[in-house]
Amino acid sequence: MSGFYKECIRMAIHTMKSNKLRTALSVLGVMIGVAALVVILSLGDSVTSNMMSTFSEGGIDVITIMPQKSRNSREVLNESFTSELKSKFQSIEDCIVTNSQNCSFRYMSETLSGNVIGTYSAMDDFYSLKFDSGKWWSLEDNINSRLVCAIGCDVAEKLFPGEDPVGKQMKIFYRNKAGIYTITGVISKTDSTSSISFDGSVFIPFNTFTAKVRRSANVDSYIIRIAEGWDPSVESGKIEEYLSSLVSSDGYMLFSLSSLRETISKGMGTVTMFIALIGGISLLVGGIGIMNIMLVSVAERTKEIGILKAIGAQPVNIEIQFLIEAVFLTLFGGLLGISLGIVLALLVDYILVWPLSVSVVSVFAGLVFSVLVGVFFGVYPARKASRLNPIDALSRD
Amino acid sequence: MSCVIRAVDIRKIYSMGEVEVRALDGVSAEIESGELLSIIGPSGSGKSTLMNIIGCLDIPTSGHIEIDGVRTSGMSEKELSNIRGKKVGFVFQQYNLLSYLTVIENVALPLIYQNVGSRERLERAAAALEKVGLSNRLHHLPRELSGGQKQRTAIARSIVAEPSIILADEPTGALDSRTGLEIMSLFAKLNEDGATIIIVTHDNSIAGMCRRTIRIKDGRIDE
Ligand SMILES: Nc1ncnc2c1ncn2[C@@H]1O[C@H](COP(=O)(O)OP(=O)(O)OP(=O)(O)O)[C@@H](O)[C@H]1O
Ligand SMILES: [Mg+2]
Repeated sequence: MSGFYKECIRMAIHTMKSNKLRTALSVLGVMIGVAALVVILSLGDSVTSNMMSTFSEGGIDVITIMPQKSRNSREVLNESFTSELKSKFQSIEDCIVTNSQNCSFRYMSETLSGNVIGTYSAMDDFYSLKFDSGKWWSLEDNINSRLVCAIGCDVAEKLFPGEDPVGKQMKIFYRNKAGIYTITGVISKTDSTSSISFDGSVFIPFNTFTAKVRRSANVDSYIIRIAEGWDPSVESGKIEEYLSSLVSSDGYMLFSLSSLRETISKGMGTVTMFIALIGGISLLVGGIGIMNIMLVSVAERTKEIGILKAIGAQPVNIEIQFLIEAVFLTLFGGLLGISLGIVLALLVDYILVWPLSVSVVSVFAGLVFSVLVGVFFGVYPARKASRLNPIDALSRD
Repeated sequence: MSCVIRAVDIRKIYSMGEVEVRALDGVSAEIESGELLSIIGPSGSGKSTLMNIIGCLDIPTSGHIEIDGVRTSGMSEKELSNIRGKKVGFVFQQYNLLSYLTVIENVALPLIYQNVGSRERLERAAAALEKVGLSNRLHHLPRELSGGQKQRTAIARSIVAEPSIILADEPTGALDSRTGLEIMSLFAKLNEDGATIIIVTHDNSIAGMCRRTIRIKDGRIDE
């Protein structure tokens, strides 16, 4: 049987070569379809792996609520709201508040401006902060409203070049007043893939912040961490629901990386669907094009089919021969499509500054799909060829 | 001698709307193994139709064919193609070679459907071409051959699978008379080697070179 298949392949290549333009046009649809397939699968992979690497840095279980100026938000959303939330939701592992204010810092003659953030001592746990030196200030520092601070690495670098700031004192200016704060630690540089950076910030205890920086019961943001075993995006939905029962919808903003991720993947899903649709339609149209060209080929080569039947070709031989031709066409289109798809996927990766990657699965899927399209749309013409009456076929010119 | 082909009351009727064309109207014949037989008759008398029915390319409206004692009526396309491939070799007036295959590839082609390995295929094709005196043109394409050479290629193709019967439908029809005679003597030689050969012609001199002649007129055997 091998000689027969070899001959079929030779004939297939012969027909493709002797009708180059027709071959090129007829595989266009399959090419575009397969290219779309490769792009979808490759980008899908890239998006997932990029999103994973961004969010795995931590923060996926963190929800942030930012009260806004509105009728009743000020009354409800104060510091004690943290304990209310904690008692209401079992899924909340911890909740801290932060207030922030743009201030300037001074050490010796160096001055720098940046964000002063008043928060709880649990903050460093929330964001799994690491320290270049020293450590975070303690719970008691907050209770006693002590003048202590932990500083970001950029602040340390600019105010204390070549020195270890831990134990040193720097001056923080707010509005028309100032305070002298003892530095307890320097926070390590945040990873570049992380979504938030504290490199230029200075952290002080929340009570110190309300006592010294800004005298008000207002809270700029609540940071909630969902305990392990709960779905952060589900919980953020529940918390949002609870909030909206207390405060008008313009009274707060709620962020969570998990819902952000969901939004992104939904957006990606839409894009993917769209490309998949284009790909699917192209494959369908391409397949119909292949069927059409194969029907033309069968009609043109009726005499040849008659000759083959006269010298002993069985119907199945003819059918296989034309099927192989159809599959070769679609495979050719598929290979072009895979190349085009790889180029497009790499281009998108390049433009979005993602690591260049092409999924092996997509190449494999492209091949499988092009063969499937060839078989599916080639069967009818091939069967038609195999059923030709030999004498009718032979008497054709 | 044994009877390789028996045709029993073959009728082939084409009905085209109102009109009925009786291409064959009750033809019976017996052909012995090793015969060199010609079928002669005017144009449209049904010679080709009879030939195609004998070679299992066509199916009679009624009557039946026996080849080596086996009735072919009711056989599937697959079984019929097996007979065409193994028992019968066709030679056509218009050669019917595949234009994109070389001489030796054309000749070897029928063996592909007999599952013959590629080396043996080429050996047997070369041997067949040697028999028809075309060993010097193995790798030419059909368009590079003369009519006589094309017909020799077609004859080589018809004998490569070593069938017991060779059916030739006006094999000299497209050739000049000298080349026609060469082809006829080739058939005579193949016949001496043991093949049963049936040649359709409307040329009396060609028919004269055969040992027996069946005359057909209006779809009937003309005694
Ligand atoms: N497919 C067909 N449909 C209708 N009529 C046909 C068909 N094939 C053959 N015929 C008719 O059958 C008759 C016999 O045709 P056939 O080809 O057998 O003649 P022939 O003896 O081979 O003639 P020639 O010497 O011209 O080749 C003719 O009248 C022809 O018109
Ligand atoms: Mg004829």
